[in-house]
Amino acid sequence: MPEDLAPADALLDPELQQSVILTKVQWVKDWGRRNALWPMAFGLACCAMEMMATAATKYDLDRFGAGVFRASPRQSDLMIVAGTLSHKMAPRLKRLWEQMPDPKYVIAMGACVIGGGPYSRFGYHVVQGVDLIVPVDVYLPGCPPRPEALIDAIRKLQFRIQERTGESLTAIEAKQKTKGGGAA
Amino acid sequence: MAETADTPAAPPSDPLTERALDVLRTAHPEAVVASELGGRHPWIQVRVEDLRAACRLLRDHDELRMDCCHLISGVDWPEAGEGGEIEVVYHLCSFQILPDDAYRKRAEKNDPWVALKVRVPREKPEVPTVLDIWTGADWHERETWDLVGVRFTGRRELRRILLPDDWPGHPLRKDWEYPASYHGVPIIPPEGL
Repeated sequence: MPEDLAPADALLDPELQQSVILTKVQWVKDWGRRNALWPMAFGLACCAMEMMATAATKYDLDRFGAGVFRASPRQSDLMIVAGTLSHKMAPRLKRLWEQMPDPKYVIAMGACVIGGGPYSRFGYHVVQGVDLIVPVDVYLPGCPPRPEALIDAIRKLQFRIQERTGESLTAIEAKQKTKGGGAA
Repeated sequence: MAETADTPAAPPSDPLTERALDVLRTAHPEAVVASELGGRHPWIQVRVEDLRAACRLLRDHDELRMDCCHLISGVDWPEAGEGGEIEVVYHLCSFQILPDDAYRKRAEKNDPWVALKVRVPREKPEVPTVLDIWTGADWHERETWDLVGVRFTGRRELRRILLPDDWPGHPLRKDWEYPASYHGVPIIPPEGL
C-alpha cells in the first residue's frame, strides 16, 4: 500500500494503525481518478504514433493506469490531442471534448497543438494552439515528444488531479519531494 | 546569360518528352506554345483549347501510353501576361512503358514522365476537364480548384476537397489574405508579407 494513502494516519493510536486507515473520501476519489485515467483513442498526426508507442509493450502506459484507450469520448476522461489540428478538424475536436463526461482532462501533445508548431507562421489551415478551443491541463512540447515525455506529462497530470491545485507543476513536485523527505 | 566557354553545356533533352513533342507537333501543329526538353523537369506548354486533344493523343499513342494522370498542379503568376496568369501543370506518367537501363541511369530524369502545361488568364481561370480521359484526375482537379481556384469546365460538380466548404478564397493565390478568424478561432497572419 502506498505510504501516502493515509494522510490522517497520525491521528490514530499506534495499535489501531495496524488495522484501520483514516482518510478523506475526496482524497480516495482523487486517488482512484488519477490512477484510472482512460484516454480517448484519438490521434491527428505523427504525434499519435508516439502515443501508440507509449501505449504498446515497450513503454507500457498501463503501468501508470492510463493505458485503457477508449474508442468513445463518453467512456474517456483524458483527451491527448496528438498531432496537427486543422481548422477543419477544430469543431469536431470541440464536439468530442464536449461529449466527454466530467471530470475531463486535456494534454496538448507536440508543438503543433501547443502553438501551431512549424505551421504557425505560414500555415493558414492550422489552429495556432488547441487552447484556443478547449482548456488544456498539461502542455507537452516536442516534435514529436518521445514516449518518455508523454509518460512524464501523464504523471504531471496525475499530480495535478491528486493535489487539486492550479499552482505550477514544478511547485507541486517540489512539495511532493519535501513531503517525502520529511517522512523519511 | 551570355554563352561563354565556362557555361555548362545545355542539359541533354529528355527522350520521352522529345518524342511526345514530336507526336504533338505532327498531330496538332498549332497546339504547342513552348517547351523545355532538358533539365530535371522538362515540360511542353500547349494552348488551352488543344489541351483535351493533346491529352487524348498522349494517352492513346502506342509508343507513349500515358495512362496515368499522376498530378495536376496550379501555379499563380500575378505579374505574367495582362493582369496575371494561372498555370496548370499536368504530370503524366505511364505504367505500361518502362525506361531502359541506360535511360534509368541518367542523372537528369529517369522516369517515364511528361509534363503538360496550359496557361489561362487570372480573371477567367477556366480549363476544360480531363476527367473523362483519366478518371483519377477528379481529386486533382478538386484540389487545384480548392487551393488555386482554377475552374474546370465540363465536369460534374467541382467541390472543395481539403479545406472546409465555407473557407474564404483560394489560399495559394498570391493575393490571398488571411482571415482574422475562422469560426471564432483567431488566425494570426505571418509578419512581413
